[in-house]
Amino acid sequence: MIDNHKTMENSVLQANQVFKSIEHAGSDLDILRDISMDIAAGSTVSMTGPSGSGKTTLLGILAGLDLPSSGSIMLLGQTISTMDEDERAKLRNGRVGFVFQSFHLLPNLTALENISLALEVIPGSQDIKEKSVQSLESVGLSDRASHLPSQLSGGEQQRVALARSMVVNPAILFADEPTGNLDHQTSMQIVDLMFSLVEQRGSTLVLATHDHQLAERCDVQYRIEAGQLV
Amino acid sequence: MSSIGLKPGSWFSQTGMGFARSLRLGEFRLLLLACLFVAIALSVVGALGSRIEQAMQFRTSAILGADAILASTRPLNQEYWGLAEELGLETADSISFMSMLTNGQESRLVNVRAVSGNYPLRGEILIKSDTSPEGYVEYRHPPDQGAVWAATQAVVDLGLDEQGTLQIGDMQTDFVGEILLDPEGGVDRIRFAPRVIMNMDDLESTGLLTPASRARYRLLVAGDREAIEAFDEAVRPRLESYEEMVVADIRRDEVNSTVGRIISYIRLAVLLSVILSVVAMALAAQGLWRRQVVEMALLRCLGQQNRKTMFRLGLRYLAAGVPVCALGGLIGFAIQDVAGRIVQEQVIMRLPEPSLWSLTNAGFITLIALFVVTLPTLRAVQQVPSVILLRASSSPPMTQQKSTFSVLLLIVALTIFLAGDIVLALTVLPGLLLAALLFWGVTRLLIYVVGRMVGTRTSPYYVALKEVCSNGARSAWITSTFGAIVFALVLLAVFRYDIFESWGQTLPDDSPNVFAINIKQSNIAPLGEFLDGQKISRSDMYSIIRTRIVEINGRPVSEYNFTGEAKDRVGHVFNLTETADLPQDNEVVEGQWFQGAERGLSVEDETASELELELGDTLTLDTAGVRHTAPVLNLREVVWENMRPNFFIIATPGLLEGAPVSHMLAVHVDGDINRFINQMSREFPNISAINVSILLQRFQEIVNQGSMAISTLFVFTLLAAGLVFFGILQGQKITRQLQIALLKSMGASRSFIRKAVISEFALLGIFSGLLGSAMALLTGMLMADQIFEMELVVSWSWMAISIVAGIALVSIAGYLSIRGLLRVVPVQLLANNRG
Repeated sequence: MIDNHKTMENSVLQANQVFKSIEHAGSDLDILRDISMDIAAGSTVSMTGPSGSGKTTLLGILAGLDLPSSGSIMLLGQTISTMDEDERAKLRNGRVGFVFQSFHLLPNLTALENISLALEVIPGSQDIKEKSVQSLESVGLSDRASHLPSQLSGGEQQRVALARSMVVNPAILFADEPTGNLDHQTSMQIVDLMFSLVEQRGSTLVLATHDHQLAERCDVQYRIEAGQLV
Repeated sequence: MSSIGLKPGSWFSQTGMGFARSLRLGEFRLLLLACLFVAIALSVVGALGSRIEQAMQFRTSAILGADAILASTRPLNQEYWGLAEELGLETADSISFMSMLTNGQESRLVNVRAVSGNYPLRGEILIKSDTSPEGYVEYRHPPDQGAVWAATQAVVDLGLDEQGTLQIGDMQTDFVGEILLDPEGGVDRIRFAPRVIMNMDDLESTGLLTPASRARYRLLVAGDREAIEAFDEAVRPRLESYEEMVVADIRRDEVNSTVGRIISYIRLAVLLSVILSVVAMALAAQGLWRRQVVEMALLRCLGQQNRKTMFRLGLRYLAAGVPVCALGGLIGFAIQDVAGRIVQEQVIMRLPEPSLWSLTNAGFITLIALFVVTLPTLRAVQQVPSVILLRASSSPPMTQQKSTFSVLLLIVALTIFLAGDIVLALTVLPGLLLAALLFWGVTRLLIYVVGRMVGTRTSPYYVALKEVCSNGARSAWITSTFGAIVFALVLLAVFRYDIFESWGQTLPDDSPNVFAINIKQSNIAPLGEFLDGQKISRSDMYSIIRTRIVEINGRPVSEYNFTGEAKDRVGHVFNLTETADLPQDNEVVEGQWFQGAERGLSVEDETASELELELGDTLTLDTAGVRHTAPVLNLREVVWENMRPNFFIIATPGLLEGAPVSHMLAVHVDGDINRFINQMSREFPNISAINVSILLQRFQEIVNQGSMAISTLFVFTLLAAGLVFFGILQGQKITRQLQIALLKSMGASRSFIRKAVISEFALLGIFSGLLGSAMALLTGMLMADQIFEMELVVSWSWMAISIVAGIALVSIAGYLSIRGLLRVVPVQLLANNRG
């Protein structure tokens, strides 16, 4: 692990002695063991490790999509590990963005509508269309606004997903293997775009990847092996 | 952004957007289409079914001119009018008597009926008209004061033209119309003198009716079935020996028997359509749920709380469901309104006004159905794990089991609601469930057996076989559902064919269209010559003896506690015939038809059942004061709708020797019927002839309309089945996509895949066709006996056609569903699958 901690005052995400185990074949299987980390606002953080090391599980827990078996998580100043699902969702609302390996664009929504969806779930959202168009422009796909995901290439789909995550100006962006389904050249374009957008908006980036080159572009790099930070 | 131009942010606009966006999903459109089908079917059956049933009652009542008649040989007690009024019944009255009608030098004994202004309460009087296209005009009132209508017989005998002046008693009156058909002018009524109808207000002027006159006084009542029954119950105990109560009886109406079958068929078709549409709804809801899982997880990721997601989804269903259900209700309402108008115009059935309640009812029930099929998915929203977005291996909550259970409950409830008649519900529902369970079990067994026999070969047919065997559960599910569809379609097709067939048998081209009565023994020989001269090829002559049952097994009938129809049967004089030949369309169901010199009676089976008669029981008949006792030798089933003379009781020739006898003739006339009747009346003045061609024509019209309704409904059910097919295949599309992509990536040609897929569906089609048609034929035989009261002829050709149709249907549908995927390159299929 390369420690580049910024001060606790700027912290947006803290994990304290996080364990995660699941029941498997009648016994407990440890996925994560004693993970602690502190992520500063505006920083870019990578988590690397081999397949099955637990990096995606950790990302899910840090984002509040899943709960740890023990330990605590503090996201944006609130302890989410004691919150119920709705409270965690409320906390994420408009402040947390996601980029997934499989993009997860809704197939029946156009590119623009997929982006709008992120704003539509925020109570009292204004100028949804304008903001969505701007976000689509920011990823260079303004001419693809009315296209359905099936009419877009993999790289274009991931750019739309990126625009969806950034349209709310998230305080923190979680990205799970964002280039995992893309070729090298497209991956580089997406990564450049992602870092540039994160920097422009002052967001924090938490990235799970097995790509060392990508991880090295981050301010902070964590390495996970067999569920432990090394 | 809003696709429908609404201000974003509000629930309203979000619901609108969600609805508009969901419409792009095939599963959502299928759900709404299935919903529309359910609403249409419910609305049609809800409104038209009950309207036609009420109309059937009206039609039967039209024969009487009322729902019930209280008749007496003495003036009726005013209490009866009071009772009818108390029960809210409409009343009319008539008085009939015999009198001479005179036109100049010509006189004729006629049956005069003086009727009140609102006569008849049901049905119409048909008056001949050369100017109207139908050849007649209908009246629901008597002629004006100072005018009369007279039946054809009187018109011919008195040499009346279209208009003329007549004398009845002290009154001079104008002849203004020739009666073609009037209440109580049905084919089963014997009338010895032609009818003349006059206005009650003229009765006094004739001076004919005195306290000593022999007249028949009638009180006609009409109203709700319950009120009629209450009137009947209240009046019967008070009846004097000279009074008689007659209530319209649907069962003995030949037209209603046919209409009854049509209604049973309509109900069956609608029931099957609704069941299939509900299954399609459930399939669509499941498919939609698989699509929505990602959306639900994503919305949670984006920070939307579960209850809001549920609310959002629920509102989306509601926003889609309400207009669709309303539209379905309206379409159904329009269909039944048009159908109702046709029935009203063509069949001359007075239909009650369509009720808006049936429309809202249909819409509301469909909305409940939509709620029931989507509820499991709404409840599952909170169980969708958000990590599904991070890990493809995370499984979304399964809703099939809960959904299957709720859909089954829904189908049970709808079946009971729709069937109205519990026999239909209890036959179709277990039939369908049993069929599905049986299909499931048998298919799994077949797959297991075949699977153990399959080796490894490089052929598309083996790939297909492997595919069926390695996906046992999926194959069994497809077979069960397709089998149930084949079951429904074969069931409807069989009955459609059989109903048409039975009508064909019922109404041959040489059906009698003229009935002649009051024929004396001395008329028989010259009448035969007359018929030969008229080139009448076919005629049936029956003796008519008026008799009454007075004892059963030596005990007076008054000692038996008969009620209802049985009481009517033993209380009244009826027509009996003596013949050695079994009449056409009669079938001996117990015992043997008269053999050699034996002496006894043949009784219609339902009459025997009402009177609890068995073979060997004796009946004592009183014929003009002379008693004859004879055993029941056999029981007959009678096809009442064959439009031929039919008899409750037939005696062996000579059994009632010495009894006054007249004869009845039924002939088919090809040419001008009125000319034939006129000539017969001139040559045989004592014979009364009745033209029943109008009745036949109306009967044929009903059959034609019924055929049209049945064909339309069959197509409707076929479309509902198509929805289910589409639902199943749509649900499989993602798996198929992956399977085809893998086969293609491994080098399989398009033709190899095509053959494999078609073979796979053909194999499932064999299972479905075989099981579905076998089950349909079994259920069909049960229903034919219990509901349609007809014999279903099961042929092997039907079985073969069903199986071939099943294979073709399933194979074609299966191929069509993947045809588009065959042309796409594998990488695109895999990419789509990923999205």
